[in-house]
Amino acid sequence: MKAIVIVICKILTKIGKLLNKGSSLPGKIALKLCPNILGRIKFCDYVIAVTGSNGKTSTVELIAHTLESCGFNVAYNKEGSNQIEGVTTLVLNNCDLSGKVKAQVLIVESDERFARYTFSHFSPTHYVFTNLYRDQLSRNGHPEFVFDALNDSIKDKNTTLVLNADDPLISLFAKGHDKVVWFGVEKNSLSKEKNDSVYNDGAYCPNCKEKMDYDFYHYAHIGSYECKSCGHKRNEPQYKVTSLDLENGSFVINGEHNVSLFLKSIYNVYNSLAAFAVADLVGADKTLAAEAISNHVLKNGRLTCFASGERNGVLLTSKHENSVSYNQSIALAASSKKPCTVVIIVDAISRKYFTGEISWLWDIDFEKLNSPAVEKIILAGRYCYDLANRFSYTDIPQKKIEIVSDTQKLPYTFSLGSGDIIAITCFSDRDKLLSNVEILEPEKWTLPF
Amino acid sequence: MKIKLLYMYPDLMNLYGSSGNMRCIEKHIIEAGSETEIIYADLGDEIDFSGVDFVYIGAGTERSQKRVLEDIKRHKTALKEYIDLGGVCLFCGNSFELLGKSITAVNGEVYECLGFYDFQTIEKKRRVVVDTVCTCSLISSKIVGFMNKQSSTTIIPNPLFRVVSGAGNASDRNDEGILDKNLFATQLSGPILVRNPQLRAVIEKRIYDNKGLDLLPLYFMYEEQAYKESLKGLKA
Repeated sequence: MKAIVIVICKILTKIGKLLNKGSSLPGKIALKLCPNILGRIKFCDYVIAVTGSNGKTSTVELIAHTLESCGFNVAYNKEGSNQIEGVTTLVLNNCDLSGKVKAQVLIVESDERFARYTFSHFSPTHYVFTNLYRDQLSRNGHPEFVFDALNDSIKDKNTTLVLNADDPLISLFAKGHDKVVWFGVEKNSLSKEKNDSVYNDGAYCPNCKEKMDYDFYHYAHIGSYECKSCGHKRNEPQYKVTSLDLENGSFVINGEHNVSLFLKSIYNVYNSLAAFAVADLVGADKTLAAEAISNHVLKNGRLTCFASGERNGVLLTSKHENSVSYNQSIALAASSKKPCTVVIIVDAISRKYFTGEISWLWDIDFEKLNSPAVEKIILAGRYCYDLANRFSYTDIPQKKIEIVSDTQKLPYTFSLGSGDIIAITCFSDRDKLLSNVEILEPEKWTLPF
Repeated sequence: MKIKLLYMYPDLMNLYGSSGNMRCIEKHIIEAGSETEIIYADLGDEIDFSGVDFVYIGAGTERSQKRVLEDIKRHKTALKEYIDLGGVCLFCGNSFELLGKSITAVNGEVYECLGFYDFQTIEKKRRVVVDTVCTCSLISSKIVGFMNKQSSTTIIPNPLFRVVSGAGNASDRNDEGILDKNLFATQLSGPILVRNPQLRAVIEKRIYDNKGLDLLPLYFMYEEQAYKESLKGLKA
């Protein structure tokens, strides 16, 4: 029976690829035929799970690239289908007919809400938690609700948790679990004493809800914290960024391993650090791992360069309903070294369902786009007036702002201006831009920041 | 004359762009030509309600709400007096639940609340997340909002809204929130005043009436356009 299900899954995947279908259906059918199929698989020595609000796909891709560069045979969910069906497709397609995973290392990206179902059938050897932010509130409720769901997915005391020490909510997963490895970024010149965002989810301890003290913040609630009331605090990381030069896109891990970044953002530093930690934990050579991570250009499409007429543009794919993701793109745009136009498109809030929920626009630090390099801001899509209203609360001069409700008209609007274009939008809306401009091959990419 | 705005638990009860409501009221008062002052009150802070013109609490996680409940009881008498004297206030999201008799958590634990109004809240395992459209007897246009909660309440005699689509206080009824004198309470979360200019105008007017000040109606194009778009999107 097991072999038949595996064969069916492989055949369905081949057909699905020809038809350009997603990767979750074969797994779904396999689970119908044999609900316990994942429990009957002989897994490889290393099963790495990655979950969290942001950076899952990038981190999985970085881990895979790093381990492959270090000579490991790796399997992972490239398409990012991260619920139990997609994971089942991944696992079965990488099995032989006896149900044994052929790769040396299996890397599983897992959706936060569904991890508890996936990992009731098998346990990861290493379980990476990137961060927990406000994300897709119209589906996920809030971060503590997601925390509870994820906490139920940690079922095996032999699993090594690989936790972001700088996230106070993530750190709570260590409660009652012995095997924990921490990663984090030490204080550096960019660390801030105060959280200067619209909201501060680190103001109160997630464990006891008393006021929490911070030595420093890197961004949002990520930093070095201590609750004087219950003692919940940042743990000393085993894998740490000991020096960081974001301007030049380089950092050092544990005082000796230099890494350089193509995408110069603190968020990318965390993804890279997590990848380095995993590489070391599975026995890769640390020097080789640091080299592999350096300058790796992410292929998952978060970053796309394009041309519109004479103008060069870069699309920073962000996530609607996720203020940290937007803030990340805003920080990059504000750091532009060339005069630029920023275009923000909010047309379909989700690609999976309809919602008119715009509360997240009020959690984003749009104020930080008030930088001299940002000469113009174009607000586009169905929710352009919600955006315009939100921007009327910032100090950004009204004359810099232009409203374009129809995204089809963007190329025309671009043709009236000059300088680089930095586009910020979600997977749900990116094609409304990309289908109207010329997408550039990575060899031709130049970034304004 | 300065208009004093009291923002209670701005960090703990700040989910879903909650701060947008306070920013909206503040901005409109400034645009109307008055001076404002926002007083922030956190856990343990003393509050002097005298001279306060508007009280606001936003939405929080279930755990944050319980912590706030413990603290807000210190202000029970003063807050009750403020409401009874016709002080203007807005409770959004699960801060609304604090006004009832009790909250029963999923594990069965019962939390005694302020008891200003005769209703109980029962938390559920399942979360309700849905775009919601309501009517409101105070204004002619519909209310657009978002429900993000995991609870249901017993019936409230004086609801603020009637649900047309989406979710109200309980799945089998259309009542939503509380309206009592100048207390506005709704389980809808997010920047509801930003999204509903007419509701904001009613609340703003009541603040001005209490002060004996005149308020000239101003037109904010972006708000109106955004409101129209959200109605259209929700086919309401």
